[in-house]
Amino acid sequence: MNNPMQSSVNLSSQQGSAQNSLISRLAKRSIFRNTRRTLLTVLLISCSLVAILFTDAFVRGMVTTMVKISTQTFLGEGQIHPVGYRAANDIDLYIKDTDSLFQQLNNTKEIQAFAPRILTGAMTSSSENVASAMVYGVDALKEAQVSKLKLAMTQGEYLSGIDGEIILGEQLADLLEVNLGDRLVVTVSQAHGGDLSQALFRVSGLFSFNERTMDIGMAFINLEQGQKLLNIEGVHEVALRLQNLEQAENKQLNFWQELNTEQLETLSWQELVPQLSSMLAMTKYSTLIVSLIMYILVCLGLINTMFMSIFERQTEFGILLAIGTRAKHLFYQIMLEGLFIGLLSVTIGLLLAWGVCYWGSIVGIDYSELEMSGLTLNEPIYLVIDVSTFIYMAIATIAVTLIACLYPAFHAARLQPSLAMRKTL
Amino acid sequence: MLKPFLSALLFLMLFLTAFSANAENDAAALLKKMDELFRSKSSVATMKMQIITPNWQRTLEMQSWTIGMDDTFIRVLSPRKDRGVATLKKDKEMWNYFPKINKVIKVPPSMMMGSWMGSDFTNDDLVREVSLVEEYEVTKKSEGDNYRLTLIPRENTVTVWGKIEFIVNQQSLLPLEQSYFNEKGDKVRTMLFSDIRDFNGKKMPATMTMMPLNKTGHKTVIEYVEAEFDIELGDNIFTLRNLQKRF
Amino acid sequence: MLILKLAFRNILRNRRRSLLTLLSMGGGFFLLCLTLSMSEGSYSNIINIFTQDHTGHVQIHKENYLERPSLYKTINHADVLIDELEQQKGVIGVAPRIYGPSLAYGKNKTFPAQVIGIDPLREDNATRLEKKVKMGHYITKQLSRDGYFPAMIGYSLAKNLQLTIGDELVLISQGIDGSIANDIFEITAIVGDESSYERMNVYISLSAMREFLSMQVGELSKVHEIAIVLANQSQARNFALKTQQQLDDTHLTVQPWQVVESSFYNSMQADKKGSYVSMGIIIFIVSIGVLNTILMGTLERTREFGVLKAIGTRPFAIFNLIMLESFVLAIIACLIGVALALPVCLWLASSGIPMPEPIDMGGIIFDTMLGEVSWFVVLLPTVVVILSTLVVSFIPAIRAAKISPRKALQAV
Repeated sequence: MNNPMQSSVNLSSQQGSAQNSLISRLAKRSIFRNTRRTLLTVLLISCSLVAILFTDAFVRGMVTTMVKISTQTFLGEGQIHPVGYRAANDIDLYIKDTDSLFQQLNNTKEIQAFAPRILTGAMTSSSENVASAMVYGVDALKEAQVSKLKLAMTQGEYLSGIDGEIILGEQLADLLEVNLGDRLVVTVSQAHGGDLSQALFRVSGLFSFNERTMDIGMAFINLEQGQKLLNIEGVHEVALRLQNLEQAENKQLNFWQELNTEQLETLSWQELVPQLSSMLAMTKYSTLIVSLIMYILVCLGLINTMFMSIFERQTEFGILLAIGTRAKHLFYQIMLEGLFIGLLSVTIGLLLAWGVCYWGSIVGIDYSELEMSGLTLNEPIYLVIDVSTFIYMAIATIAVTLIACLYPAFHAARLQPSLAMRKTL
Repeated sequence: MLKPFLSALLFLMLFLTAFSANAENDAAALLKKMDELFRSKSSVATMKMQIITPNWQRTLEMQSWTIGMDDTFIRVLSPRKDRGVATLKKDKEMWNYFPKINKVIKVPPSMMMGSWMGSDFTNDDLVREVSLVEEYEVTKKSEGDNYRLTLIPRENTVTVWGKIEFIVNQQSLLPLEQSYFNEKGDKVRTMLFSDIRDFNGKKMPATMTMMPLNKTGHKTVIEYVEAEFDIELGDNIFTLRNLQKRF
Repeated sequence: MLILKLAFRNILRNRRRSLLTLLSMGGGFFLLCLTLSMSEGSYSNIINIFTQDHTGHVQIHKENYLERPSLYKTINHADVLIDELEQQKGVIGVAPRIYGPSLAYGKNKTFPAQVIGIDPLREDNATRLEKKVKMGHYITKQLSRDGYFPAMIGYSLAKNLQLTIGDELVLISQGIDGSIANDIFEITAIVGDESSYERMNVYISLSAMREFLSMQVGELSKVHEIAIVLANQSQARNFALKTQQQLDDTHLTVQPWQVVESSFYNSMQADKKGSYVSMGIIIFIVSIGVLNTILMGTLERTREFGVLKAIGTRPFAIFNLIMLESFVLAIIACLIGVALALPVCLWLASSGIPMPEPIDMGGIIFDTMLGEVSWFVVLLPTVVVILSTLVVSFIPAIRAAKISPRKALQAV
């Protein structure tokens, strides 16, 4: 015993769902019927998506590379100093208990490598000339793991722990008129008292960081000899290389807390060179504006395309309406078409973008003809893929596509069939 | 038959080694004379220093007191602008005093003026007034009327020079010329000694002219006006207080 | 001309289509213009701020003073030269300087310091030095109360020497006559902060400097450097070239800031190259937008072209017609774009966009992003829009010209 009301409701709901599937089938078919039009639309949307995602990855890569260049050349991603050292650069202030500190550093997993250093102003004299310079005492092996000193060598040999070795910046060597093997006397004022002490070195190598202040003002000797020369048993500075850059920003990590005590001050590169992070903030900000502009442009193109493709089909819609399609259904059909196009374009766009960015992250974009302060940009810029950006942009693009279809769909639904079917040339 | 020959040979060998040892001793002894020439165990002297550069010329008058190699006190007497400027070197420490601003400044190594008072002598020369005999190996050679002493730095000697040479007159045993060479063998600077005079019993050249060979137009001439040697000098001379004393 | 009339009529006939095409071209133009304005503007802003910090736009030295500074490499009749320069058009400020690397002594410590003799009034005119005075007041030419010359000291140097306003600063250097320059100065101001250029410098007046270095009466017009600030940093190279020619026989070298601050310049160039990439991408997107609209528009008019050909229009004429329509649309789009973009760019150039967080670069605060108005900012988008329009119209125009009327009229 079927309830007639129920059955009619059943029927109409069956009809409803049948209609829904009809609409979606029609939508799919009309998309593929005029392939050229669809292709153009899809092309626009997906290319724009690829462009935006590429730019995003590129800028991220550029920022990372710039930071890397600055921190890996010599600075390190963080530095440890005795409290008060940075304010006064006083050689009398040095980290005394280095053994336990080094052990602590070795046990910290976030710290990939560390390089202890002593620094002092000194007078360097050769047989021809005299110049003042900053002399750094470094542990050759450890230093090579943190900074690019070893890679910056242009002549001669890197330090190897033997007394008497000294490596100079090329411009300093020029000023002192010395070559490899020449004598160099370094005079310093010792800690605790200021007695003058001197030692004889032979130029064992030259380096160039391509940065004038470094190449004319720095010289490096072995850590132990430096300690003897200055009469200290400790170090002034420990430069750190972390496992990855983000750890420098994350001040919540334990090791930052543990390494900042009453005697030690440990800072990340952002705090050591605030100008660098300001410059990066500025780059990020201007990139944001450029991305915004790009996005508006893409939306514009999208809206344009959707409008065009729908308005050009007026005749077709007129016919549909004339044969009895409900206005509402036409509206839904157009919206569905928009949705399908959006999904299709976004999928293609995401795949292409992923491909391009992935290639970019492996191969990188080479800027090597350019010399910036620091080393030559000999590391290509590797694109950095940020998955959340991909997801946001994809959703945003689909959303805009749908919104772009609203007005034309509305307009189409309200067409008067007779007017619409009038074929104008 | 062999015996006289052998003994002659032995004698010759002994003689030769004695001779060369003597020669070495001779060279070292001569060098020691050079070391002590202007110092002895102690000295008080008045001198004039004329500095000539392509940009300016100056003449300073100074008084100096020294004990051995370690303690040196120099005070400028003229020109009026620099009167009272003094330098004290005690062991390994060095201070300068400037009367105009009444300050004693310990000399830091990174002073951009490598030269002392603008002359061709460096702070280095003053700080490391070392005993040449202790720091260098010396050999002697005869050249006409003169000896040529060749000094090569020892293993542990801290110096920029590859070689120093003295030309010493055989008669007076006083130096005529001292030359400084870099390790490539280029002569970088040279000091000429002249005008031998008697200073309270000691004969020595009164005038020393230092000429750097890598800078044209530069010359520094030191002329000793008066000098006394091996006299008792009070401890209070080599003090910071003395730097600021009115005189 | 018939074709022109036809082109206009076609454009006007289908308003909606034309409007949409205009929208994509004009929108692209507008946004490209804005982006260019912002990027050029921010570079100019940075360059201006950097060069006005202490370098100036053009510098004059004796020979190779920049590479190998020496106390004796002086510009000898600086007074005359300064007067001449100040009278020239486009010159905003001229600042003479004397440099004397010295040892600064305070309380117990000594530190090397760069001592710079400046003309306080002229320096204020040319650079931002006066604005960097954090504590105390800018120096004048007079002696302080105790009879000492006033001096301004950099932040880090003051910290290292543990000195502050009112303290005595002892400076020791080498005089120009070979004597030891030594004098006491009174600190009247602290300049800059720990990351600014001035941090290890000491500033005193030119007359104080001349006395400190024992410059005699005949040498009162000697300086080491003359820094010139122009109305716009882009004039630097030309001005330097022109001035160098005027000074050709005097052993003086005139250099623009690009040479004086070459590492800054190089990093700016590198940065610019990076932004070319994003610029290129924007142009790409604009071109695709234009491509799409024109292509679609042309394709939908297949019937129309079929009819035209059927009534006898030459293929070449159809080609021209389509190209002309696109071209006219592009021009109109550019005009509208300029009309809309110009006021916005002008506003950007004068007020700019305030940044959410002001950025501190070495004591200089950036808190707005400025735009720039120049021929470049307007011309480049025009060229891009017109060129891309013509390029993308080419193929559809050719296809339309080759249509066979029968096939065209069959299409729906």
